[in-house]
Amino acid sequence: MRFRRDRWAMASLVFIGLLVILAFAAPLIATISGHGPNELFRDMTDDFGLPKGPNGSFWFGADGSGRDVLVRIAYGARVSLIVGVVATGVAVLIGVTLGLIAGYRGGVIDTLISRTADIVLSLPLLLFAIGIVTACGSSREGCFGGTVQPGLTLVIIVIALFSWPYVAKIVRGAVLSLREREFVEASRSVGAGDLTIMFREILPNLVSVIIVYASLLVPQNILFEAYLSFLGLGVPDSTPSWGRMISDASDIFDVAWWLMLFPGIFLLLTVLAFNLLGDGLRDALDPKADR
Amino acid sequence: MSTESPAPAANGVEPLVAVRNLVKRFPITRGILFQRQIGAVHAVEDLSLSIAPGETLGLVGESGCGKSTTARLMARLLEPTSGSIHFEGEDITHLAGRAMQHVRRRVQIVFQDPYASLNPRQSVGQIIGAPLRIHHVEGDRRKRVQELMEQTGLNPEHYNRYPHEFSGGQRQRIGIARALALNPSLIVCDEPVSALDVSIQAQIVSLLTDLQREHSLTYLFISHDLGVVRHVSDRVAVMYLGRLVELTDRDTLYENPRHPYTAALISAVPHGTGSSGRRRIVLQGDVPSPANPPAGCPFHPRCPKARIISGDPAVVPERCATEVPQAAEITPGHQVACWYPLEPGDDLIAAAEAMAPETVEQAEEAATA
Repeated sequence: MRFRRDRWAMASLVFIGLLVILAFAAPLIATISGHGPNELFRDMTDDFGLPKGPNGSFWFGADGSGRDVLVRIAYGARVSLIVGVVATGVAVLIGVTLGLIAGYRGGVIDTLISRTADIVLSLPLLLFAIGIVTACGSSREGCFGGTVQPGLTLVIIVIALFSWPYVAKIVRGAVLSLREREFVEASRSVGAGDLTIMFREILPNLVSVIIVYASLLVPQNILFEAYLSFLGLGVPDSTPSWGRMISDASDIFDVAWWLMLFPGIFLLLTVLAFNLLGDGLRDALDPKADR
Repeated sequence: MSTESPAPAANGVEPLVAVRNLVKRFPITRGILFQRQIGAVHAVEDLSLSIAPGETLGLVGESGCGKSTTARLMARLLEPTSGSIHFEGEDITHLAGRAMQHVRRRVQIVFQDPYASLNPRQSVGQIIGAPLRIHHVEGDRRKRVQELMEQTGLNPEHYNRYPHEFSGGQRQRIGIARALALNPSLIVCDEPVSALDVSIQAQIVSLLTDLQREHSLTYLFISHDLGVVRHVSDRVAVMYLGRLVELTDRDTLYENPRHPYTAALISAVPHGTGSSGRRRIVLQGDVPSPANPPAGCPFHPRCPKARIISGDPAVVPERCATEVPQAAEITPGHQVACWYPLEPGDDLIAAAEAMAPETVEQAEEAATA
């Protein structure tokens, strides 16, 4: 398979695999090093309250409160991956369904869905996300009568809400050309209904488009979570997150470079790996190429 | 012309399918926010024909004359603008729901392009089995599909293969197997061999004729290849600009055409032997746009016979330019839509050569203005 020969994509896949292991092994790392993710180590801060850098026990150093950066990065990988994958999954689910309906039915339904997508895409995304998260995260009960709780779920919902239109637009475009193909007509001539045609005839032809697009959406959503956390609007303070770690580091960056460097490198490499993986998948799944 | 009951087919038996005054117009719209109709493509105009059980009716004509639209109307893939379609005596023109599902089992279509008509993401087993699944046919579906594959000359062991693993001819066999799955009585063949290599065409044509004999099928066989149509058809209909111009049994049509357009079409068929000295009726001008068909007889701007009648290559009889000729029986079983059907001795070759391209253009402009 061509994908195997794509060295960048394979390297990305290996990196993502290691990251997943890191995320799963986070408690293990905490146990081995004896540093819990929220444990404060007095001896890792000096008399002025400034953290100490990397040493034999704290490989990535400690943060301003004396917490182990390595352990927090491992826990942060969980948040990044969960948000990246789950928010993308929800966005893909919404986007594919609406895109399929819009492209297949056309007419008023198409106009309605497409214009809604356009409106969502033209909203000042970060501003709106901040607004929603602030409004819903200001109290413990959340908003909408407690249906939306602050924290990870809220972040995922907000991100999914803003990324489905990309998927919907791509799927709609693909459906528009697919539904005119003769095999759709053939299916109708043997008596297939709209649902059968949409899900059995058209959807399988969209799989490669969806996989490629999803893998490109994951890094975007990981970054989105980091932005929100950087602004203090992401996951709660007790949950380590790369974005929040970078945000915290910005205060004392000039005396504690490791606070910024390590989470920054992980964020950069993770986003890069998913992007390269997406490119590799796009090349490998291009139907024109396998003939 | 009666619109209530379908007319009997050529041999007097109750026709399997009969269409009456069928019209299909595709609206041409303009405008971004508010679409308004600025015209219509007259794809099929006032088409009436019927097909007897077990018969093969050939349908020929140039590209864009409405053949494929007729196929899709007959298979109820398009909704007719007006007119009626009777199938097995029942009016199916606007049938829907469960009643239509019943008709779908009886009327199937084989498509022109064996690459576009098979879903690239489904295995052969899924493609041929789809009609069985949709209609909840009882029994061992896999066994039935493999039976169909065998009947159509495919290797049943290729059940799990995908369309791209097959050649064009084999793909067309898959399309035919799918059409056969529900034991239909009418199969609309929309240019089933036009996309295939000539060597493969013969195999597919003979497969279709074998299947017709075994399953007593009725075919509407559409093609622009007059040779293939002559080979398979019992009767042949000729279309021009959405209208039926001539319909009769095969031998009469090829040997004694009465419509000038049919005569020109047949004279254009290349012959394998000794054709170098044969002269052809070379029509001047192009087929007019179906969005703006000429008034009167659609063929009159290019018609050499009209010039024979008028005696002047630049003039057509007034009747040809103003009144649409209806298809009428001039001898039993021979319908021609022409005010002045060909008579023995008409020299169309000379008349066509005498026509200058400019006079055709002028006639077209005058007719469509």
